Amino acid sequence: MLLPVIGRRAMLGCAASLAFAQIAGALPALLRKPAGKPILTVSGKISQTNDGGVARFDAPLLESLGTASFITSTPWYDHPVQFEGVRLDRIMQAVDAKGETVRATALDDYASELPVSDFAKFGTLLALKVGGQYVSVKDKGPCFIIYPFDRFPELANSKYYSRSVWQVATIDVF
Amino acid sequence: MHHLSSFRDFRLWRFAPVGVLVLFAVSAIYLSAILLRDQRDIGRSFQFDVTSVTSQALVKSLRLQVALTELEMSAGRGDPTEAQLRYDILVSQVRTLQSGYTTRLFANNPALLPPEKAFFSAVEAAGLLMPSIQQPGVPARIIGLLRPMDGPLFNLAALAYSVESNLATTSEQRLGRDHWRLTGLLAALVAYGVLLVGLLFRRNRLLSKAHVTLREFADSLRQKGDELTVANHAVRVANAELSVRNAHFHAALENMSQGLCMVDADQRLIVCNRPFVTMFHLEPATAVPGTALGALAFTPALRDEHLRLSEQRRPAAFVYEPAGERALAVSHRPLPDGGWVATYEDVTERRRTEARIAYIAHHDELTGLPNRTQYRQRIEEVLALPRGSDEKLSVLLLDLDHFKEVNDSLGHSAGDALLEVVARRLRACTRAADLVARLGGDEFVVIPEYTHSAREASRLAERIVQAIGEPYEIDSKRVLVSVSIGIAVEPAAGASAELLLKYADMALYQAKANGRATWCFYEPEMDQKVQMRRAMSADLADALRLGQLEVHYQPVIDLARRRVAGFEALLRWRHPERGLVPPMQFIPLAEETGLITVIGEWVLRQACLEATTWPDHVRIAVNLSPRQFHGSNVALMVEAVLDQTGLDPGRLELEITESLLLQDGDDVLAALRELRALGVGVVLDDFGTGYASLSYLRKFPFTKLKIDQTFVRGMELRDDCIIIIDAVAAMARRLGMMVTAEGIETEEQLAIVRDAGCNLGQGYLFGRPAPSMEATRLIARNLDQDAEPQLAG
Repeated sequence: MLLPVIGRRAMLGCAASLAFAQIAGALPALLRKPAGKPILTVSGKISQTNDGGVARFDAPLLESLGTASFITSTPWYDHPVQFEGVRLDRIMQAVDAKGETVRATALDDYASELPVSDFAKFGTLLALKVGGQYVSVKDKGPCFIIYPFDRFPELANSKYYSRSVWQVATIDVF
Repeated sequence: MHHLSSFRDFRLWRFAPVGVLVLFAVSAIYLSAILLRDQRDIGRSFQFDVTSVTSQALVKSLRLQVALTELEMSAGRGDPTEAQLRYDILVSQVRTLQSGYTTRLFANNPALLPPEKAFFSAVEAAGLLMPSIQQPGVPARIIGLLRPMDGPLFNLAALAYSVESNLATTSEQRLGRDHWRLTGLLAALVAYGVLLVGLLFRRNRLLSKAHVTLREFADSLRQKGDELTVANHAVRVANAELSVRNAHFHAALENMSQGLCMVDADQRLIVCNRPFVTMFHLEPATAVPGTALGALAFTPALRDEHLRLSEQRRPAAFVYEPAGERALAVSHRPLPDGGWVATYEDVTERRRTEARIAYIAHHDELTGLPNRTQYRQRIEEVLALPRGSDEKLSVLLLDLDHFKEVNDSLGHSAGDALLEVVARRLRACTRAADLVARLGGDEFVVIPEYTHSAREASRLAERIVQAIGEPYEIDSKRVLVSVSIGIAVEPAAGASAELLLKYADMALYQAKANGRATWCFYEPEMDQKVQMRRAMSADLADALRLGQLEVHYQPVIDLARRRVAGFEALLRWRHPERGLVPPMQFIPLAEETGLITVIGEWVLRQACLEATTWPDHVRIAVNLSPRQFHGSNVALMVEAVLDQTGLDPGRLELEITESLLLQDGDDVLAALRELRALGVGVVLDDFGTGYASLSYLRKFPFTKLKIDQTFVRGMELRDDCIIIIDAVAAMARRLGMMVTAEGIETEEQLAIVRDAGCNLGQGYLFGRPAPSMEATRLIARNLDQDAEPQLAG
C-alpha cells in the first residue's frame, strides 16, 4: 500500500488519536441521556452525570460502554450460566467515580456495599443477560451484580454472595 | 557383637519413624480431605441463607399486598407500576425458592413441602390476575389469594430457621469434631515430634556411642598403625640386617674352602657354592636353585649315597675316595623339612699326610721297617686270632753287639747306613708274612707268622746270626758286627704279648751274657733268675741304708821291700739271710741299677776315712765303675770326698777297667785328666784282658797298671804269660807307670813277677780282703817289721 511520504506522520497521528479514542472508550465529554426507561441509577461521588447529579442508564446505554461476559456457577442457578453485561469498573470509569465504596441497592431494598477495588480486581460484571437472554425483574433482572465465582474460588462464600446483588436499582458511590 | 546389635537397632529405629511419618501423612491427608469436605459442605450450606430467602418471600408477599391495597384504595386511579414491580419481585423470590439448594432443603424436610407448594400455586394464580389489577376488586382478590399464605410462609421461615440452626449446630459439631480430630492429629504430631526427638536423641546417643566406638577403633587402629609403622621399621631394619647377613652368608658360603650343597625334600637344589661347582666340574649355569639333583653332572655314586641317607634321614660323615681321584670328606646332614645339606672337603692332602703319619707312626724312618708300636699291635692281633695248636707265636728279640763302637769310631751316618743294611739282611732272612720291626737304637724284633717248633725258631735265629755276622762295607770300610738273639716261644696257650716280650728280653740278656753273637731260648729259670735279680736289687737298694755293706781291704805289697804299700778297698755285702753275697752277683747289679754311683761314693768315703787312720805311706785304692762316670762329674765327687775326709789326694788311687775306656772316649779322658789334676792316681785294672789296650796307654794318664790275675796264674803253665808280664812291666816302667801283679798265691809266682819287674803284688799270698781291723793290724805288724828288717810269713 503506497502511503504519501509527507502525510505518514500525519496519518500515524490520526490513527493514534483514533485508536486512543477507541481505547479510551466511552469517555465522551458528555454522558448522553438514556433513550428508554432507565434501569440503573448511579449517584454519589461521580462527575459524569446525565440527569441532575446522577447518571441514569438504560440497557443500550450501558451496553454502549462495552460488554463483557463470563460463565460461572452460582448458588442461585443449578448449572453454570453465562452472564453478559457491562464491567462495573467500566461503569465507574464512565461516571468518573471518585469514591472507594459503592452501595448497591436492589428493587426490594436489599442493599450491599462493595469495594470499588473489587471491580477491576475481579472483573465484576453488571449482568444484563443471563444465559443469552435479557432478564426481567422476575428473573432477578434487570441488572445483576455478579462475580466470576468460578474463576476466583475465593469469591465462593457468603461475603461475595451477599455482594452479588440482583435486581440492582441504584449504585451509590461514596 | 554389642556394636553389631546396636547397629541393627539403629537400622530399625531408622525405618520406624519413616513408617510413622507415612502414617501421619496418610492421616493428615485423610483429615484434610475430611476438613475440606466439611468446609465445602459447611460453606455450601451457608452460602445460601434459606431462612432469609423464605422470610423474604413473606416480606415480598406482604409488600405486594400493601401495594395492592394501595391500588385497591385508589379505586382504579392508582399507578399499577409499583404493584407490578412488587409482583415481579415476588415472582423472582418464588423462583429463587424453587431453585437449587432450597429445593434440596425442602426435599430433605417433606414437612416444608405442602406450604411451599400452596404458596407457589397462590402466586401463580395471582399472576393470572395481575394483568387486570387496574380493575377494581382484582387487587383484593389477589390479596385474598396471598394473605392466607402469610401464616404458612412465616412458619416456613421459622421452620427453615430451625432447620438451618440445626444445620448450624450440626456443622458446629462437625467442626468441633474436626477440630478435635485436628487437635488430636496435632497432638499426635507433637507426640510424634517428641518421639522423633526422643528417637533423635537416642539415635544421637547411639551415634555418639558408635562414634566413641569408632574413635576407640580409630585410636586402636592408629595405635596399630603406629605399631605397624614401628614393626614395619623394625622389619625394614631386620630386612636390612637380613640382607647384610645374607650378604655375609653369601660371602662366607662362597669363600669357604668346602663345597656346600643344600637340597630340598624333592631332591631339588636349594643353594650351592662356587667351590662345590668347581669341585664337581659342574657348569655354573646349570647349578641354579631349583635344578633337580639328577640333572646336575653330579657323581652318581655320591648322589646315590646321598639319596640313600636322605631316605633314611640319617646324618653321616664319610670319606669318598675313588681311586685315582681326589679324596673328599663328605658330611651329610638331613634337614627338618625333608631335604639335606652336605659339605665336601678336599682331603686328598690330608689323607696322604695321615697315611704318611700313620706310616711314620708305625714304621721306622731309617729302615722302613715297622716300628715299636706296630709290633706290639701285631703280637696282640696274632694272639687274638684262632690258631691251630701247632701254630705258635714266637718272638725273636735282636740286639746288635758292639754297635756303639761302630757308631763311635765311624760316625752316626755310618751307623745309620749299617742299620739299613742290617734291616735288609733281616728281611732277606724272613718270609714276607713275618714281621721284622726295629724297636729303636740297635734293637730289632722278628715275629714269624707261625712257628711250629722251637727248632724252627732256632733255625731262624741261626740264619739271622750268620747273616748279620757277615762283613759290611760302610763308607768303603769293612765293618763287622754280631747280633744277640733272645727267643721266646709262646707256651701252651694264653700268653700275653707282655709276657712273651719279657721272656724274649730275658733270653736276650742271657744271650748277651753267654758271650754274644748267639741266640738263646727263654727258659723258665731265667724268670727265676730275673726275679732273684730283682729281689737282690731291691735288697741292695736298702743295703746301704741298712748298713749291710762293708768295705774290706786287701793288702798290696811292695814286692821289693816286702811291706804293705797300700790296700785295695773292696765292697762286701752282708745280707741277714743271704749271708755274704758274692760281689760277682751284686756289683753288676749295682752297675745296672745305677746304685753303684751312691754305693761307690760311700765306698770311696769309707776307704778314705779309713786311710786317714793309716800311716802316710800306705795308699788306698778304690775301684771306679764305668757307670759312675755317667752323668755325674766323678772328679767333683772325688774332690768332695777328699775334702770331707781330709785325705791327701796323693794317697788315693782310683782303679778303672778297660770297659770304661770303651765308652765315650773324650769324656772319659777329660774326667781322668781332672782326677789326675787333683793329684789322685789312676790305675788301669785287669790289664791285658781287654780290647786294644795299648792305644789307651797312649791316650790316658795312668799312674799304674795292674796285670790281670789270669796271666799270673797261667804263668806256671804257659810261658807266654811270663813273656807278657815281662813286656808289660818293662813297658810300664819305661812309660813311668807302676805295675801291680794280681793274684799272687805262691812264692814262686811272687819271685817271677818280682823278677819280671813288677813293683807291687796283690793276692791271697799276702792276704785276703778283710775288714778294716785286719788292715790296721797288718799295718801295725808292718811297722813292727820295719823295726825288724825281716818279713813274717
